[in-house]
Amino acid sequence: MRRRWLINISIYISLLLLALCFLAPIVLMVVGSLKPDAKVLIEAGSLKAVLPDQLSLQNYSDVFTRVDFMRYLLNSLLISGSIVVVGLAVNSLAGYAFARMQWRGRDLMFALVLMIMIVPLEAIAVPLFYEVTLLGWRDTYIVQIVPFIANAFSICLFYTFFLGLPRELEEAARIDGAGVFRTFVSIIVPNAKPVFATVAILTFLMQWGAFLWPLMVTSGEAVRPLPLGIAAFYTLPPLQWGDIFAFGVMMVAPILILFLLFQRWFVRGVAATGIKG
Amino acid sequence: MAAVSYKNIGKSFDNGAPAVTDFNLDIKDGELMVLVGPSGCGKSTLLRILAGLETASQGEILIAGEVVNDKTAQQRNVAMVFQNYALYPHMTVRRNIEFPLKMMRLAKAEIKRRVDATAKLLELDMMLERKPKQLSGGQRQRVAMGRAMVREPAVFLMDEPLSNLDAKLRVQIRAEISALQRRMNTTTLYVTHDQVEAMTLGGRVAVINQGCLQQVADPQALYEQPANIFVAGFIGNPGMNVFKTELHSEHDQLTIRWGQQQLSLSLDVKRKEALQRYICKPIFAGLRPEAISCEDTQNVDATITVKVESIEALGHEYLLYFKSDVVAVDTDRFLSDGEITMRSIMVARLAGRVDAKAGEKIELGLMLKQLYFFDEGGMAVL
Ligand SMILES: Nc1ncnc2c1ncn2[C@@H]1O[C@H](COP(=O)(O)OP(=O)(O)OP(=O)(O)O)[C@@H](O)[C@H]1O
Ligand SMILES: [Mg+2]
Repeated sequence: MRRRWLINISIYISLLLLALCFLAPIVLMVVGSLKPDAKVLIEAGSLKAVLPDQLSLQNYSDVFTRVDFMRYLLNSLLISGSIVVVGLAVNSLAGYAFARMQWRGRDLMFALVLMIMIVPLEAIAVPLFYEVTLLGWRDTYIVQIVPFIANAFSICLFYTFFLGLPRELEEAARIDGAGVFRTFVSIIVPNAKPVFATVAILTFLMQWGAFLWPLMVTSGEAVRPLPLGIAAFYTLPPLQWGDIFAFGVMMVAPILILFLLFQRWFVRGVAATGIKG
Repeated sequence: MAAVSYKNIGKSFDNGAPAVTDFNLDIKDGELMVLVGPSGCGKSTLLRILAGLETASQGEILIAGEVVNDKTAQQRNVAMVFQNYALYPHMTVRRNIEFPLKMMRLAKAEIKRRVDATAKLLELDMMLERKPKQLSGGQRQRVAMGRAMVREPAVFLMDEPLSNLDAKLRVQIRAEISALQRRMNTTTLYVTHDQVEAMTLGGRVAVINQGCLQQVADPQALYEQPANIFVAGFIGNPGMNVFKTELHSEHDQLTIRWGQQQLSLSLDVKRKEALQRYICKPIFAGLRPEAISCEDTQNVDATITVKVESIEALGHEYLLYFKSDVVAVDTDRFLSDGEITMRSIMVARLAGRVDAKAGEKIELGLMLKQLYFFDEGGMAVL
């Protein structure tokens, strides 16, 4: 009896320690952002790192005065948002075409899509850079949006989901007189909300943190997204850790809000269909 | 309103054997035609070809005398009720029913009028604002019917519309469908694998096996004059016992061999003449389970001894499964190319109580006047 109790206690303690390891960086970031710059590094090793003796919002206002935070935020929202919205349309249609339509070369094309998934951006960044330079797209929003709209991973997610939808739904719509596009919009999309939500969130998360590509193709503040803004602090003397933390908090916050808003969709599996069984 | 014809329809899928071969069937305007056959025989494929969901590899489909092979599902003006109903899950009952009308771009007032009339007819008017998941199986079935009816289509297609319902509801809705069909007088194709359902719907029945049409007739004719061994075994509950035997003639008296016994037949002149050609040759004989009795009534004209295998008590009747000196043909697997699988068990349908246990030997009477004959190819001999 007593032994059991001890085992339970030790399991909980190890779980707690593990959780602390993962939470620590986030806690340090949030607490650090509320402390005077000078103290951030000095206290990092002591208990004061998590239990500060004085708090202020100074760092937050510093962020706004030292860099054009709103600019970065709006850029990020515009870029990620466009990629998500246009990407949902493009990738869902592509996934549908692969899952449900008969056309010549479909299987070959799908194999190519699967292969693209394996190629990381870093591997093709330089040739892609040449391409957009030739197009004269440097230093624009377009260059940060267009290359990321079609996404092999999203296509695959849509593809698998559409394959799982009962075929009879589409056949019923066809007999009822709906064309392919109408069927897609009126019948498929409303029954595929979970996959749309999943793809939207994953895409948004991925694009929100984009760093390498924007760094390569942009130079001015005007069109740069948040990750480049936070990087600007490292090169902006004097180096102030509190400001960096404050920037970080504000950068993560929109994602957290988004996640909380859509959690219901994200977590909920396949919506119940009206098909019996 | 339209007549429908299948003309030499064939269909093979990319992989494997043909699903339908050289299928010919004419359905009259306003007729209820039931397609029945075992699972995988091609019933759904035939329906889907007519609906335009599948293209035929060969042959022509005619609706109202017009070849529609190249027309879309909508242009054919057919409506279909799917086995799983395929209601649009995200739409209310009203939206489901009005969807085909919206696709036809009818005026709003007209749409409302038709939806309300259909809902009233099917007693769905209380649940128009519900979603399909909030309905019972029977109600969903009616919504599916409503969505098909509201268009006032030329042809109605139903693919096993009752198979998701419990037995009692099935009987009830079956009667409703049959009555509705007669009232609306719309040409209807109804697919089922259940021969009882096929027989009771009241229309002509087309029996299909392995993609081939076996026989089209009204239920009584199918039962009384099966065209071949497959139909004989498929229609009836349970189906006919068919066995291999030989026909002999002694002093102008026809006999068949049953194990060691020769059973003499008293047949009318016409049948006797038809059978002359088969004397001393192998032939298939068939006896319905109803033509076997355990009492010695006046209809019984031969007695045999059998070994009881099992007895099923159904309340009002008993099914007696037995082994005898003849080997029965597995009619389900009887192929037109003459391949025959044997099974040893036969069945009798007895009205009276039987006090026998498995393994015991009992005597059964045969009503040989009701004997059917089939030639070596399995085709009925008059
Ligand atoms: N899309 C398809 N691809 C390949 N073969 C198919 C396809 N659809 C049907 N078949 C085959 O065609 C044959 C007929 O199928 P069909 O669905 O018409 O049978 P069915 O009579 O409706 O059977 P059930 O009573 O089980 O519904 C089957 O052997 C089936 O395997
Ligand atoms: Mg079927």
